[in-house]
Amino acid sequence: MIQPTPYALAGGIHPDEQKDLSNAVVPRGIPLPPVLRFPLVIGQSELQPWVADGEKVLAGQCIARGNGPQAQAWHAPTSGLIRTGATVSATDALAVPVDCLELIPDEVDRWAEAEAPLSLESDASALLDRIHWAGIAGMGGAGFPTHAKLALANSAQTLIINIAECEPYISCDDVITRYDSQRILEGAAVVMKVLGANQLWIGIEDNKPEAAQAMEQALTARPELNGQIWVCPTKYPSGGEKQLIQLITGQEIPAGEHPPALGYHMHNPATLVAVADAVFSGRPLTQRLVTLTGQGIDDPGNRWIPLGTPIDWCIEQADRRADLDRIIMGGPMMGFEVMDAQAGVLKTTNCLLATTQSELPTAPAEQPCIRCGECAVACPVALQPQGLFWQIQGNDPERAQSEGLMDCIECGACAYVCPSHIPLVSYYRHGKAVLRQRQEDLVKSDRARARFESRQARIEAEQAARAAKRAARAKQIEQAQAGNDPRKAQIEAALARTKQKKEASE
Amino acid sequence: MTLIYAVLAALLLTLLGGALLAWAVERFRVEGNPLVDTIDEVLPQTQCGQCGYPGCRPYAEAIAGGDSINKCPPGGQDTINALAELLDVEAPTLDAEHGEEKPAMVAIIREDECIGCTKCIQACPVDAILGAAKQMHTVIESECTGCDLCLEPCPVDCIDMVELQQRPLWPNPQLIATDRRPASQVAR
Repeated sequence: MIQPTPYALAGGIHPDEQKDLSNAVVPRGIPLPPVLRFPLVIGQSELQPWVADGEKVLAGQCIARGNGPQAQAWHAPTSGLIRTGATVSATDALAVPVDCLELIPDEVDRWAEAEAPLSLESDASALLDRIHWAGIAGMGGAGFPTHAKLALANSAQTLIINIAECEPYISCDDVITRYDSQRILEGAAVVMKVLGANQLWIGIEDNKPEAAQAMEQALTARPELNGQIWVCPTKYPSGGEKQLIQLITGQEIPAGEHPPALGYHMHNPATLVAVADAVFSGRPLTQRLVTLTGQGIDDPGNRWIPLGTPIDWCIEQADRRADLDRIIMGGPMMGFEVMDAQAGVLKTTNCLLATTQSELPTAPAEQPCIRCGECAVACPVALQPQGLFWQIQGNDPERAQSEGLMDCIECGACAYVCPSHIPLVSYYRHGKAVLRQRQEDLVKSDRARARFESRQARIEAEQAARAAKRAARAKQIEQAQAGNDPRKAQIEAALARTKQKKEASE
Repeated sequence: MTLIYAVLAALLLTLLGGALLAWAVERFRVEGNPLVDTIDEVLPQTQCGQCGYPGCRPYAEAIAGGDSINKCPPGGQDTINALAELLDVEAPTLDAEHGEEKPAMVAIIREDECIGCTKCIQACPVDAILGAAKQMHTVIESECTGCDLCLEPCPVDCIDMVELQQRPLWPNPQLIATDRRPASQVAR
């Protein structure tokens, strides 16, 4: 049942792993913080509060929800009082201030009544609706709403559980698999039922033998899932969605496409646990397993943390050290530095990495590119990072796009190996943002042109109609003046007739 | 004799070629000026008339006819550069006579002050204002090009131009370390 992956990843790097800092500790909870914070903007999507300022809510109650097919939602992890009006910096790369809801726990932790449990016999659309209701989003880091991901793929034969977890330091997927493999498979069964999939693959890196073993045991109890474990060599970024599929099947996802195009559908194990909780226990997503790690804390490990728990509270609970330098959300390769430690834990927060200056020194100053080509060797999607860098620096992102900028997965392998310490991924993000902006501008200007032209056409048509009317009237007057107005002739004829009648009667 | 044949053959070929070209000119004639379309694609379609022409397309026609390419403030230097590249000329800077480059704007009607005169509706080049006589008017924000043309006709001055709220762009990382230092510190 356990097999090595038959294909190899092109490029990639071997950063220092540091997973044993956190993966040996049994996961446990943390004390409730005095306040929880939920941003009302997640990624690009906005959420509307569903509760008013000062309202008392129960645990599990929906407190904010977005509109549209890709809507996200927040549910209260505990009972308490709602406060509105606060702002925090968004915990993403740009750290712009966003509005947030605050929840002050009342220490009673009273739950709202759970939804009726569903089963695998339930209708696929009912299962999908339940996943939507629970506000589940991809917990591996991308945060795409799970119901939307499932609805976009109308069919996939193979569900793949991605436990590769290639980022250094992070161990939450490893630990959740060790302790909750049955629950993961329950969630996988739901997703397979929704998709109509008949095959389950599990991708694990070979530095997590305990997780692979736990998975194997769980799979033997559920032969109907038709499961298969693929173990790949430890190499960053083998946990990328497209990279893992390439490792197992040798197939590359075409540019601009997603795995369902080839019949695959990939999910993170934590997402599947949340799916199982929503479907079989009727509970929304209100907590997640977070890796607290790094040399900036004394008590690293994986903790079940309620969503919205302030980051500084989490770090305090793990015994913050005095020489803590910065906190990174996510791993050291793709994570973001936390600008506002008051902000809450999100659904995508798989790791809070508290580092010291000696552990993760500030990046040295950027030096000129010496065209050594190391980045091209490291790139897992076979791009030419130095070329893309050159085009973007020369303010020509269109050229970079034609050289494959949009296929960049922003894994940071190029920047990791760069001897000139160029923050290459920042350049690519800038290039992508400019391209997106120009595309939007183009769409807008096309619409403005169409509206301008249709208005122009309408005005011309109105003028033409008016001119035609005027011409017709002018013609009438002209005819009248020439003495051959048809109406005048009619009147004269009528007069003549009455005159004749008069004469006849006389 | 050979000479005459040769001359005749060359003459025949020339005539044939000429006839073919004459036919091709008629057969593949392009309606309108394709250059105007290409220039129009580059212009920002604000339809604001700051260039002195009644809309972007008329200005595109004027550029195709030889007018200067630096009269479009909403497009700014980016548009000038794109036009310069398209027409293969040197890129000039924006002609200040026609206005300054500003961030993207959008018109907002202060709705409780609007008297419903419809004058702005008639002025809007892209039909982005909604309303009827003696009814409140409002701007369809997603369609507004920020051209300013509705401000002038409003008899009660109830229209404001505000900067369009845009998502912040991922910033361009700094240049190399030596470029980051102020010019005065760089050794010459």
